[in-house]
Amino acid sequence: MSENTIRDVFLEEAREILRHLEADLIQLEDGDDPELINRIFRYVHTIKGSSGIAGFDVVYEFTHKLETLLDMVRNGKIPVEKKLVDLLLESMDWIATGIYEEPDFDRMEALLDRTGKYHAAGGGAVSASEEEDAPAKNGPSEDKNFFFLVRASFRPMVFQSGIDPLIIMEDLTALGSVEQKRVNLKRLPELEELDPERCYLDWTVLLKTKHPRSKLDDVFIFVKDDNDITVEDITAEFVDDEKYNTMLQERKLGEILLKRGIITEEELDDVLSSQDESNRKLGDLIVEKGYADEKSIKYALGEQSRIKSRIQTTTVRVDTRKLDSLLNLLGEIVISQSSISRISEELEEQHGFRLKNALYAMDRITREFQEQIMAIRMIPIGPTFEQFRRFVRDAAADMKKEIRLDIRGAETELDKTVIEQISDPLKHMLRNAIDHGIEPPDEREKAGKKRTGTVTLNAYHQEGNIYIEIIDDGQGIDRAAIKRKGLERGLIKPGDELTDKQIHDLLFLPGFSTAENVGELSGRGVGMDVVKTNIEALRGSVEIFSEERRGSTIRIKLPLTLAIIEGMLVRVGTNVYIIPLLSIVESLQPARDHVKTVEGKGEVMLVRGEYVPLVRLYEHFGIKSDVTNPWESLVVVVESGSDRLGIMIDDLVGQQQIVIKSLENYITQSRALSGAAILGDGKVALIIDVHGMVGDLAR
Amino acid sequence: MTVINVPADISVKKVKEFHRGLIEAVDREGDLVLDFNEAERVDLAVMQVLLAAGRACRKRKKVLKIKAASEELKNQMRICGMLK
Repeated sequence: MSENTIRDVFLEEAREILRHLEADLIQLEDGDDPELINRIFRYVHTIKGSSGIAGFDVVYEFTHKLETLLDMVRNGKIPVEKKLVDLLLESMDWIATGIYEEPDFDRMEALLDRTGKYHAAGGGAVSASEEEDAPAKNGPSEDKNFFFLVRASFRPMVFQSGIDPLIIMEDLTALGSVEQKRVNLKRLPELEELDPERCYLDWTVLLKTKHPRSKLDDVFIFVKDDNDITVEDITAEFVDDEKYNTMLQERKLGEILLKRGIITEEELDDVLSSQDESNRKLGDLIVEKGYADEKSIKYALGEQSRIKSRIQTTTVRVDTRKLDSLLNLLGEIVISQSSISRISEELEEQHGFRLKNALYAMDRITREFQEQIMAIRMIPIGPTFEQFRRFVRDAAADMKKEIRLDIRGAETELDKTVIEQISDPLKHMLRNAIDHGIEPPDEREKAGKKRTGTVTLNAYHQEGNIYIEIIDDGQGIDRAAIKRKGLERGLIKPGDELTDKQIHDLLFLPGFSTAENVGELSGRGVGMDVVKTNIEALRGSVEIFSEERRGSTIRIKLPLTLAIIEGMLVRVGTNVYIIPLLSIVESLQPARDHVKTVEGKGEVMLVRGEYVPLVRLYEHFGIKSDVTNPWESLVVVVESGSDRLGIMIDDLVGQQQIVIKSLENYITQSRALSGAAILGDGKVALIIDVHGMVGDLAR
Repeated sequence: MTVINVPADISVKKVKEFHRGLIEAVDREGDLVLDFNEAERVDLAVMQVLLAAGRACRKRKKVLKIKAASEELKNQMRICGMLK
C-alpha cells in the first residue's frame, strides 16, 4: 500500500472514529459505564496506532498521552467527572484539527498540561498502556500483552509437602492484572467438618501480563507434576487481528464466563432459570449468587463488546460512487427493458405475448435488484442524530440553559445522500430550539416545568416517506410577534385573517426573524428559508406545529430515496413529463363550470368543494398542446405539504419506475423541474417538481 | 462480641488450634472479631478456615469482622475471593 493510500485510509477511518468518539464522550457524562470507557479507550488507541502508521507524528504523541489518561480512568484511578469529559472532548477536537487541518501547538501544550495534572492525580503511575504497543511505524512491538487462562487445582495433601498454594497464587497474580477470576469454594466443607490441614480450594484466573508463558511456568515449577495445573495462552482472542474475525461469533455473557471457567454449566443453568423468573440482568444474578465477582462480569462484558466490534469490522467499505455507478447501470437496464417492452407491443400477437411474459419475469428481478442496491445506500440516521449531542450540550451551556437531547428512531434508514444533506438543516433547527424554544431554567421552574428542557430528534417511516421531527418542550412560537413582524415588513396586511400555518410559514421567508437580540446561535434572520430550500431540494417539505407554553414541533417529510421514483408519465402535445406518484392525489376531467378565474389568484378549479390553482402545463413551459380547454383535458391534482394544485395535461401515458438523471446546470430558471429520465424509446422526459411548481406560483 | 487475636506466626502448623477456637467462637453470642494486629499474612490453610468461619457466621446471621488487616493480607483475601 502506498503512503498516500495509507494516509487516505487513515483520514477516512479517523473521521468515523472521531464521530463515534464524540457521541461516546457525551454519553460518558451520564455515568462511567465500564464498557463505554473501554470503547473510548479503544477508539483513542486505534487513532494512536493508525496516526503513527500514517505519519501524523504529533497526533500520535498526543493520543499516546491521552490514552494513558484513559487507562487510568479505565482502572478507576481517575473518576469520571464533567471536567474530565470537557478535557476529553477538547482533546478530541484537537485531534481532529491535528489530522484535518494544522496542529495548534499552543493548544496542544495547554491540553497536555491539563492531562498531566490528571496523571498526577491518578497516582502518576505508568499505566499498562504506556508500556504497551510501541509505535506501529517502528514495526511490531516485542512488549505486548499476553492473556493466559490458568486453572490451578491443588491436591488435598499439598500442605504436607511444605507448599503453600496461596504463595503460588500470589506470585502468579503479581505477574500482571487479574482480569477474571473464579475461586471454587464448592469443596470447602462447613467450619465444623473442615479438616484444616487439607486443601480444598482451586482457581481459574484470566491473567493479562507482559511476561511470556515461561514466567508463568516458573511459578508452578514445584507443583506442576503432582497437581492439576494448566496454563493456556489465549492472547489470540484478545488481539485485533483480521484472521481471527472469520472465527468469531457473537457470544452471550454466560458463554464467555463458561468458556473462561468462571462459572460452571450448572451455575449457568441456575442463573438462567432465575433470570427467567425475575427478568433481571444475568451479570447481576451471577454476582448475587456469588458465582463470580463484579470485576469478572465487567471484563466479560468488555470482551463481549470487543467480539461484537470485531464482527462489525468484517463489513466492507465501498465507495458510494461505485454504488451510484451501479445504480446508473441498472437504470440503463430499466431503460433498455422499456425499449424491449415497446418492441413487444409492435410484434405480432404470439411472439409479442411470449416476449412480454419474459419481460415481466425480468422486471421482477430488476426491481428486486434495484431494492437491494437501494438498501445498500440506506444508512441509519442514528449517527447523524448522535453527532448533535455535543452541539446541544455546548450550545445549552453557552446559553446557560439545561437541555437534554432525546433521540428516537435512530434505526430509521435513509438514503445516504439525504442523510448527508439533512445534517445542516437539522443543526439549524436544533439551534433555534435551543435559542428560542427552551426557556432558561428559572423561567421554566416558574412556569411549573422541569428545569431541564428536552429537545427530541425523532425519525420514522410512514407511507413511503421518512419523517424527521425536532420537538422541544419550550415556550412555543409567539404567533402575535410573528404577525407584528409580518405587518412591519409588509408581508401581510392589517386585518388579514391568517391560519396558524400561514403565520408559521412567514418564518420560512428570507430574512425573517422575530428575535429581539441577535444571539450567538440564531436570530440573524438567515436560515429557515435556507432550511426550507435545502429540504425542498431533497424533494421534501417542512411544517411547523406549535403550542404556546407547551413547545414546538418541526416536521420534515422526505422521500425514501433520491435516485429512483415511481412516476406517472403524462403527455402534453408531443412532450412527455413525469409527475412523482407520491405527489398525485387524483386525476379528473373538470366540469366546465368548475373552472374559474379569480382576481389575484389566477385560474382555479373546484375539486371536492375546494378551489385549487390550475396550472396549464403547456403555458407554464411554453409548448404546444392538443387541447387548451380544461374541461376537454385531464387535470392531475397534486399536493405539496398542505398545498394542492391542478396540473392540466393532454393525457396520462402510464406509470413506471423512473431513474432520475440530474439536470445539472442545464436548466436553472424553473424550480418546477427536478430532473430528467430516459424513456424506453430513448426520449428524454422532464420530471416535474411539485414543491418547486407551488413555489413558482407563489412568486 | 468475641475478639480473637490472631498470632503473628499463624500457619498450617497451628491451624488446628485456630480452627477449634473459631468453632467455639462462632457459637458464642454476638459478632466475631479477628484482630490481625500481629499477623501480617496467613497461609492457605488458615485462609480456608477464615472462609469457612465467614460462611458459618453468615448462617448464624452474625458478622465476621477482620480488624487491622495489612495490605498483604487484604491482597491474599482478594485472591481467595474473600474481598472484592
